[in-house]
Amino acid sequence: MSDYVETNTYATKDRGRVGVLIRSITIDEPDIYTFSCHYADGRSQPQVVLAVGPNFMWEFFGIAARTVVTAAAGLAVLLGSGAVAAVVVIIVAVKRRRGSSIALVACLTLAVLLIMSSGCGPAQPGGGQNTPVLLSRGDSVPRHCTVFTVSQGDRVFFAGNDDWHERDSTYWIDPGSDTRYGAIYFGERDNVQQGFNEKGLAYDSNGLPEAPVRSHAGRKPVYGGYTSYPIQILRECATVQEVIAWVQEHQWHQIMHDQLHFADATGDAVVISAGPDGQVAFTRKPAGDGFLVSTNFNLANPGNGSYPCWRYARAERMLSKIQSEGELTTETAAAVADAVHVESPSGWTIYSVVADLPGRLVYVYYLFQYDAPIVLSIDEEIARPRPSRPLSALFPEDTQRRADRAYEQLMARTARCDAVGFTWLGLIALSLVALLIVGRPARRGLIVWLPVVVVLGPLGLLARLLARRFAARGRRISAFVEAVGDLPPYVVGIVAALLTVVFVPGLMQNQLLQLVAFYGIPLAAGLFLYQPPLLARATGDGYTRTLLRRVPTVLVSTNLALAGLLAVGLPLIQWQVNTCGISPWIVLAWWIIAVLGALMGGLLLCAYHAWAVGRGFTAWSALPWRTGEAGDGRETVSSPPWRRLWHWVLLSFAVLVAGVAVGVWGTTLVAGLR
Amino acid sequence: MGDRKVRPSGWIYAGAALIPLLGCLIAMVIAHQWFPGLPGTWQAKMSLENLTQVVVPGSQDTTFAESGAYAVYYEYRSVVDGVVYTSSETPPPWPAP
Repeated sequence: MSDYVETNTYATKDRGRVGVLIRSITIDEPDIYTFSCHYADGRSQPQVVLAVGPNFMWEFFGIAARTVVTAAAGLAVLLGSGAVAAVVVIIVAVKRRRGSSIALVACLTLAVLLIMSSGCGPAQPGGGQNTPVLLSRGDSVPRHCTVFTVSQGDRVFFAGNDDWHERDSTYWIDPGSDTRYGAIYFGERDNVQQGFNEKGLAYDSNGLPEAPVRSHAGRKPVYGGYTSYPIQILRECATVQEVIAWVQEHQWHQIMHDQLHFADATGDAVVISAGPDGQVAFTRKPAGDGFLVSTNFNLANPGNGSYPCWRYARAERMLSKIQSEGELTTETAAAVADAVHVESPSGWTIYSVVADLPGRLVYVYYLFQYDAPIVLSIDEEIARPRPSRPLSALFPEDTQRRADRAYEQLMARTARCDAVGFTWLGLIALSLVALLIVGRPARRGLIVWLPVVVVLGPLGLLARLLARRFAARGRRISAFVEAVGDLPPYVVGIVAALLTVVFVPGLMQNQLLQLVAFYGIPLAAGLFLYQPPLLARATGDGYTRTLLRRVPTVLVSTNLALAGLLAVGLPLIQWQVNTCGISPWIVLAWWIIAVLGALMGGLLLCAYHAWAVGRGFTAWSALPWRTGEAGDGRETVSSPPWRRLWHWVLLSFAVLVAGVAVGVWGTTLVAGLR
Repeated sequence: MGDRKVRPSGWIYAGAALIPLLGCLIAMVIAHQWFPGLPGTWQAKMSLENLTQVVVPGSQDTTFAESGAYAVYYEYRSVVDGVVYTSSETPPPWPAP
């Protein structure tokens, strides 16, 4: 077999389609060709499927090579510029014979810049849909969907939003036969999203993290891949009761990565998912009037998925207000779908369907154009099947144009947010220049103010000016300087933690590792990379000795700074991701947000340092202005020991917990904002 | 003329501090040329939707928009128009080119 290599295969995730390369061909003239294949002996069975198209191996190598070259070039420029700057600083410092303090500060500054710039290059793997669990518990699972069934009297509506980051979907019809029900489908041919059969049985699903489930190998086998199950169910079943019986009679998956929501024309509905005991679980809609909602957490095991979820809460709240048959109309059902639709540059509602199941009518809304639905009659569609086509092609041109505009406006948000980020980068550079020209701190003062201005930008410069202007105010301004001086590693650390959580595979769904990242990275930055090196250099003490002395102080300052940072930063980052999506320059937006959060952290730190300065414990404030600019700060830098600080350590942990709670609560408030 | 050494200006520190910022900007521009479109490129190039399925025996028109290397695959598990096809993992005999 020419070119046949057993392992040169492709497959869909559910292995419903698996192909192997059997022949490479070269096309010299682009054109339309007819691919024809028959058995040599003219027989017609067995039927097999061939696929003609790109050579995926070549395409993969082409993309990989371009990615590696681009990443290497960007990294080389970044590291090269850092190296050039370091060489310049070292040469100048040596020639000016001003010792190595400035060189040290410059090197630390470069290190900070390099850490911050680590987010300049890589695009988010997986298409930009994911956000940290701490930040967006309701939106952290790939392929969002909101599905609900609601019934009052004889009226039954089934609705679903398909939320993803694709521009279009596909519509196709299975006309059925004497042995199977006909149905209409939405989604992709190898990954059906919604289906409605001629008996009024409806199907949709919600994506979930993978969960093992018992497959019952002794039952009837099911041929085909993961997503062929709902297709086969719609072919064979007319009611929810029949669906449940079908599932109980057939072999099931060994792992589920979604939950299946079925509803029928009588108003019955069920969500099928992996139960906490590893068995298939059936969550039923209450008999009679009522509703059943499913989003991206497992109804039978909420720990599997993103719970709580603002879309679930909002849909449930709106549906519970529908108390009579008269109140349940296509418009009210569409209003619920509208209220929970998603509109972010990193993920949006591609289309919504609202089905009147007894009437076998399906209202389809394209790209959240809720005032311009098309209506499909299931019976008519099946009776006169039309070829498979893009979903958008079903809509009038006017609706398509409006959808195009809505999509362009959505994408434009990312560009605007990036512009804000670049402006911030410019402000940082200007602030740095202004510090060196206008502020002109002495060598010892640079140890404090250079990192502060590099990280906090104009706010750091403002702090420097305030410190100089009100230098005579003694303890209060000392506490202020101490608080400002503590902040840089926490801003850098929290941005580094965000990048780690988003870009390191596996962290997205692991809350424990996320907590370790959000606490451990800023703590390590403050304890090992910031306070001991700078203070040791300024005071002449050794690194290890300074580190050991600063442990209790750093612990308190980390807790208080993070409390403020997370309380303010978590909701802002949630809002930013919703509004701007994920772009390669998201690090700049997170930098700005971290600085805003640091304002709150700084207030909490001021409270602690007011206490500490009052008892003679000072560090940063001793360097730049009390004695440092004119004299020697060695004897004035002092750190409180554990026995003097234990109550502050306990209090700071309590404040940190409160800060995280406020931050998480804030994210739930902004999660549904568009 | 005396031999007094000329000390470099402190301004050079400011200039040096700006070099990494400039480097970061250039790196971002380089990255911008490729990475934002990477998911889309990946999706476009590696999507199974780019394949034209042919139920054999039978024929199907397919468009080759660019000259270059293409491939023929044998799908031993497949779905075409909602119909599931399952066949032997070993491809049937293929005539010599």
